[in-house]
Amino acid sequence: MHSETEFRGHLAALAEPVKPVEGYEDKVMRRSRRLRRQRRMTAGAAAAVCVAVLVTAFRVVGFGSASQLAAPPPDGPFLGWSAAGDVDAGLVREATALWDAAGTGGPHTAVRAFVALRNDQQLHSIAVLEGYDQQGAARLAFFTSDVSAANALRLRADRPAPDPVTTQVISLVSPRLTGPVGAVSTDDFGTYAIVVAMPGVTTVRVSNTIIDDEMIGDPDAPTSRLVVQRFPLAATAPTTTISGFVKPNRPLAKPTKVFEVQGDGGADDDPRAVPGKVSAATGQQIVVAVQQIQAVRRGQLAVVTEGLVGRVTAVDVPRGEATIDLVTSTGFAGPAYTSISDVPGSVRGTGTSLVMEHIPTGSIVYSISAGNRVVMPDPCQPNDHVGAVTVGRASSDNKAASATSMELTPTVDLTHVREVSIMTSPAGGDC
Amino acid sequence: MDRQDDEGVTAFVRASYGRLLHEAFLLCGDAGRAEDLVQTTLAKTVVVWSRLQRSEGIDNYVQRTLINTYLSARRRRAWWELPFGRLMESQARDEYAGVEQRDWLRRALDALPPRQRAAVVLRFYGDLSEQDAALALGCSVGTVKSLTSRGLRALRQRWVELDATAEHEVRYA
Repeated sequence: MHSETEFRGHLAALAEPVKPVEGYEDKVMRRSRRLRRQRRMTAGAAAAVCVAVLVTAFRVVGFGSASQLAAPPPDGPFLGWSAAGDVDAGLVREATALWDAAGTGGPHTAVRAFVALRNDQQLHSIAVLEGYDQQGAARLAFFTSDVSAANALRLRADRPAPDPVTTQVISLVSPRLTGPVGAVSTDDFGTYAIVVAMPGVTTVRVSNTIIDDEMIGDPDAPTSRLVVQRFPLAATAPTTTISGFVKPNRPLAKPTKVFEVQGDGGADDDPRAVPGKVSAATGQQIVVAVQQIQAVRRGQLAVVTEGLVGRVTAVDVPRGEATIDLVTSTGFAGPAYTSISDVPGSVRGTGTSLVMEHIPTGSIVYSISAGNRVVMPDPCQPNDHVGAVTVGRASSDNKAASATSMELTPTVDLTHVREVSIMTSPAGGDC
Repeated sequence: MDRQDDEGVTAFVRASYGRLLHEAFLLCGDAGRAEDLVQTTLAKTVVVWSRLQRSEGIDNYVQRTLINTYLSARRRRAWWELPFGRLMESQARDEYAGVEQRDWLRRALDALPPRQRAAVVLRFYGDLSEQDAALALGCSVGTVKSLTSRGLRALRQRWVELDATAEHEVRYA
């Protein structure tokens, strides 16, 4: 092998004697048909495996139809719910006796417990009972301990029983659940929400717009049907949102929200939230139709979950209507302060926007940062902090020491308000 | 495939079978395996015949498929056919070859690694340029140069060894 040419010749000479066998064309065509069949079968098998994997993934991950929450059938006028957790029979007897002795329609009959537990970490004893009063009306009552009286049980709320067919959750939100009856907690975080969801709900989330969302923990973590949540004193039932979730019985499925409602109401001595439907609206005012118009007075606050809508300026009892100045209207003004940092001042509507004024200057540096929450006291509450309602958030920082006013962004979308809650005085009060 | 395609395929198989068979024989060193390799290559080509007519050149595809099928078969064989550590007996000479050099060349090609052998066959029997050989082997031009160079060097080495053996046999015959 002395040259490439010679090598090429050797290769050609080596390959030359090899001759094709007879019928090679047919062999090639047969082989190609077999190959085609194999490829089709492989593709079919691969498709079947893909479908199987997808179906399994859907089942495991939790795609598919949303979970439906089946409501237990009502028990006459009562909710047909089972109790949440173990029922302490002694506590039920104690609470029933207290309920009967309260002079609000006892003795009570056919009493059943939704909650009756001792040794709760926050409220010690909690009982939620339903039963007939002396007149045969179905009632719902909440009981908690009085820490100032050796945890003696106290009746906190006694209301008509809710609709047994449509109700998915019952709740009580109040700062008057830890001391003597009617006494506001002395703790800054002294408002509690007691929430009992219907059977089948796997997670209950309770939030209040007085607390920023960032402070809420893992929202998907499963909870009991009973949730006791602690809030600042400013939290009230109308600004509380309760959401119920059901987690499908699939390992990675996400919980499905089955309801989202406002808090039901407060304790018997709390201001009562009277609902009103917006019947007319201008850029400055709204007119709301209120069924319980006798409870409505000038100066009372109209709120929604997100915060303050405005203040009642006129009440037309015969027509059952109340006129409300929106927070951005020129007629709106009142004291206000920043939540947490407690910078005092007052707020005023300019006709198109909302400003905070009279921010003090001087030796103490009052600093307000963009996004800080500004709240307005409720005149129906005993002090400025209890039940204060968010009116807006600072639009910018007031870094300039001499700045005594700043613009606020209302927390409520005033153009889309359909219903409001008017915070009226508690029974026996007048505000 | 329609009737026109069928006729085209048959004509293509007839036209290319002999050339591919020679090339396959140089790759395998065995006529039976060469037949099998060519039929597999052409069957694969027939399966994608319609697509090939719309895209790349059929000859390029066939060339690449032949080399890939050969190299894949060698890899598979290497996996389940474990060779002995040493040859138990020497391979029999081709009784019908008649020409000593052909027998030697077949043995020398058999001793080359598959990719070196493919590069040598493509370059010196198929007359492919380095670029075309690179395309058929699925590697860079530099790799083709390297494979070819090492293949040729190994063949020359064996040639030198053969010369020395022949001289020795003559001297002590």
